Amino acid sequence: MGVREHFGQGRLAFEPSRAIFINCPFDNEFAPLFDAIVFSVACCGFIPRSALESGTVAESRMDRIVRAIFSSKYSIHDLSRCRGEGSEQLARFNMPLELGIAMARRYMSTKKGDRHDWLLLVPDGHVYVKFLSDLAAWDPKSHDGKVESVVPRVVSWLATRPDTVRAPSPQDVLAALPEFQAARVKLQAQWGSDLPWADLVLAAIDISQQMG
Amino acid sequence: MSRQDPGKIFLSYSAADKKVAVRLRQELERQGVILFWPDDSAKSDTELRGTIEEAIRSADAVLVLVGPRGEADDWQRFTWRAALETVWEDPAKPIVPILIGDAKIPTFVYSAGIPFQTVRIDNPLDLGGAARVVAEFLSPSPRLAGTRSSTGHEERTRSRDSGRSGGPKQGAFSVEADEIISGGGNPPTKDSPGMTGRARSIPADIEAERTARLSEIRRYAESLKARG
Repeated sequence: MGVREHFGQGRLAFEPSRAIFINCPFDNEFAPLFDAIVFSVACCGFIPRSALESGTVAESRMDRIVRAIFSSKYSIHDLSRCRGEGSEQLARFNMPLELGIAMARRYMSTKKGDRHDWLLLVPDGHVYVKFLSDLAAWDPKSHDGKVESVVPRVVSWLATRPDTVRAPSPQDVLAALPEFQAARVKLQAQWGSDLPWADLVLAAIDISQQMG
Repeated sequence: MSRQDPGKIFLSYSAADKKVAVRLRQELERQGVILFWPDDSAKSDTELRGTIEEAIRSADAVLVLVGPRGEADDWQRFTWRAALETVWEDPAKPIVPILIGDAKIPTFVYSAGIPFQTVRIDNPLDLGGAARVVAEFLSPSPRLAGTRSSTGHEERTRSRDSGRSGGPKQGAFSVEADEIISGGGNPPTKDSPGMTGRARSIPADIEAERTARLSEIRRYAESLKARG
């Protein structure tokens, strides 16, 4: 059995200019898109980070999120769940809150090259402009809820960041995505709901590097 | 070349390179190439963004000016992103990097997955020759119509040295275009000098046509430089 690779070390070292905090829904419906975003990030040579990356229960969720955002130069936010749900038609606002934290990180940066940058994803026809009109100036990109529409959005953004060293085409990412999805299923079977984030990211890195 | 429709060529540049962009625009106009030039004073950012996106979508080609420091600002990155998404949908749309000094080809160009040719400007005060070459790149004439081939987005041209051997001359420019490599995404680096694992062979007829065209482009560029 090999030595376990941990987050923050080796291939998973926390280098802010390579780190992308992913602030997207964790539910089953969004899972294919979540996987596609994680894999796209790895394919472009960045390290995906998440609130899931620390398994410790000694640290509050908000502490983990703030720490991850503040040690990542980039973040990706999807506001798909900002809509009424359930019998009470309540919307979930964790994601706009985390987007706000990312925005704060941008304005707190004193060095221009260190400024936080983010990609905002919204579903087609989303009414975000009605409830969060200030975001319209930040060029939100819409998708139709399918991986074929999300991957180009993510890759085009990543390919044009100043720290990008590798930029595959969306077709290349989509072609390799099933392999990553299969790896995730295998890991899920081994770990259940406690799948270590590091293992998922390493699977994404390994498969993306086979793309050439 | 015959004059094309006004505004059908988009020039991407950063605020830091605006002076060079304005001069290049003037030189290109002398060659009959009319650029889309947004009125950025009258619109909100959101409206301007929409106008630019539409201009890139409907453009026949996108010129990408990169300054010597290579620092694109947020607006230029926005145009890169729009250009990339447009080219993915329409691989027939050329992207022409125009590099000032030692500027590097932006990584996103490699992600476009299409052949491209690069013009390098050694003296930003002398843009006439570079503008003539760009005009030829964009010409509908088959003589210098570029290296686009029937294999479409599976190929691209990677820039390498061509006219720069012996060192750049003051006031000179060079055309950089030679080998086609396939697959997507990785600009050459010290650690990874090129694509690995996914190279595909280029059909012989396309390779021969490409080689002939590139030789012609180089001869044309050299003749322009010789004429000063």
